[in-house]
Amino acid sequence: MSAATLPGEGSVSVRLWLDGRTISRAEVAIRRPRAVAALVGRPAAEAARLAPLLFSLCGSAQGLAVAQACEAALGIDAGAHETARTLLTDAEALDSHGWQAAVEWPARLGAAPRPAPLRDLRAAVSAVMPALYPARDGLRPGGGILRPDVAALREALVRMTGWLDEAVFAGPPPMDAEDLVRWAGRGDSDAARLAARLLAPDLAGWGACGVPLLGERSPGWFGAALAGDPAFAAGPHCNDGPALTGPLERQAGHRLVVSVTERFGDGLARLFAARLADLIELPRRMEAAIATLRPADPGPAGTCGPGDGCGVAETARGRLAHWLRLDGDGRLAEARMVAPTDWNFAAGGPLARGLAGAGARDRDDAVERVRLLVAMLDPCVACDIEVHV
Amino acid sequence: MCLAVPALVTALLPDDRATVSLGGVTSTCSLELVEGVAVGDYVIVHVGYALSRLDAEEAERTLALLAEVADAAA
Repeated sequence: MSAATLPGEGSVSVRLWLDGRTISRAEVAIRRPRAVAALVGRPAAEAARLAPLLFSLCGSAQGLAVAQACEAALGIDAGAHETARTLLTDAEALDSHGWQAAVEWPARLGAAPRPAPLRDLRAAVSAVMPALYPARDGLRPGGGILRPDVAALREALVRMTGWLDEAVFAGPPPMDAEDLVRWAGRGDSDAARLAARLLAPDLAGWGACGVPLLGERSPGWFGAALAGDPAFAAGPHCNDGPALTGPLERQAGHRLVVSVTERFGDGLARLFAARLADLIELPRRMEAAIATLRPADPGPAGTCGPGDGCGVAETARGRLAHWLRLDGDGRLAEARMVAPTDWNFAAGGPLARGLAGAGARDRDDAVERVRLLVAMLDPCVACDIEVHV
Repeated sequence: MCLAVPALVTALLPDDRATVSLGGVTSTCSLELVEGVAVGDYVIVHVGYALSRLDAEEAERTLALLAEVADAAA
């Protein structure tokens, strides 16, 4: 992500010091407005409605995390909406991976981005909300009026898998390291050609960070962390250290990822395999979810506050959490969030640790390797790279 | 995080591109992902691509929210 940014978008900056053929030092910093502050002072329902506008790249996950935080604070049971909500965030994750596959991955191969086919994927993804919630009220606290249109959802899923089959896998997806090597060798898609590049001996294990996976953390865990320390949002930590969130965390036990890890170790190949595994599994999860959907009405209204609560939602880039505290009038008195980019691009986090001590032939080689690792960790903002030789 | 900014389309350019304006800053972006964009529309821009079109009311509400954040940070 190197295109020019507009005011307010934020960015990740990476500064490297190259000493001979080794990156002797790496500094990673995130610059962004703390936009969640704009939700403070607003009624809970309005905050949940505004969050997707404010954070529109993963608007469903953002809206649902805020809605769930409101529900926790107000004692609203929206359990009947859980499957529909997961379907919304899974579809959004697929859309986000699609962006990577169509724009970022070709760029890493020196090819022109191919955004036009993404229109089909995005149209299919945007059909999911009205097929679940005809009034498009699925992100409200307590849930909207859930009336699943199973035929429309299946049609949308067919279009999504069609896009995946054509644009990413161009045939059966690889299911283990051997498959991956063969698939990469055929090079029938940008994804396969990128795999071929990442499986090269000097890249496959490059960028290994040794940072533990964030793992399953309950909303209560996030709530305690965000409520207890205002600095946690900008500098999240787990067990007193950094943690990695995202596809690798979700798919660490997937056959493809296990096999690639055994053969190539930690590093770029493993991260890419995890993203492919996510792309393989998301449609399967969605298909299973569609089969179990049942109509539901909004959860009954709870108390009017005061109280606090935390909501957690999954995005393509990893786990997103919103914590908020409501005053006695049901308005947000405080709001804090921690997003996947805060974890993966933290100072001393997965990117910084993956770079420190890594090899590079020269300045240009260093920049391109960093771009590959950044693409695999996938920040939600643009990334600038500065190399000092 | 994950902010994407509504920008006003001020001119259409060749090759499915447009000039956009946000808060006095002018830039260009690709329109390949969004069909039927016209001058005067608001689009959500992320790293050089218009991702979606917003109606004017939504765009102005979002810009007002972002302005509040900017004022608070100033």
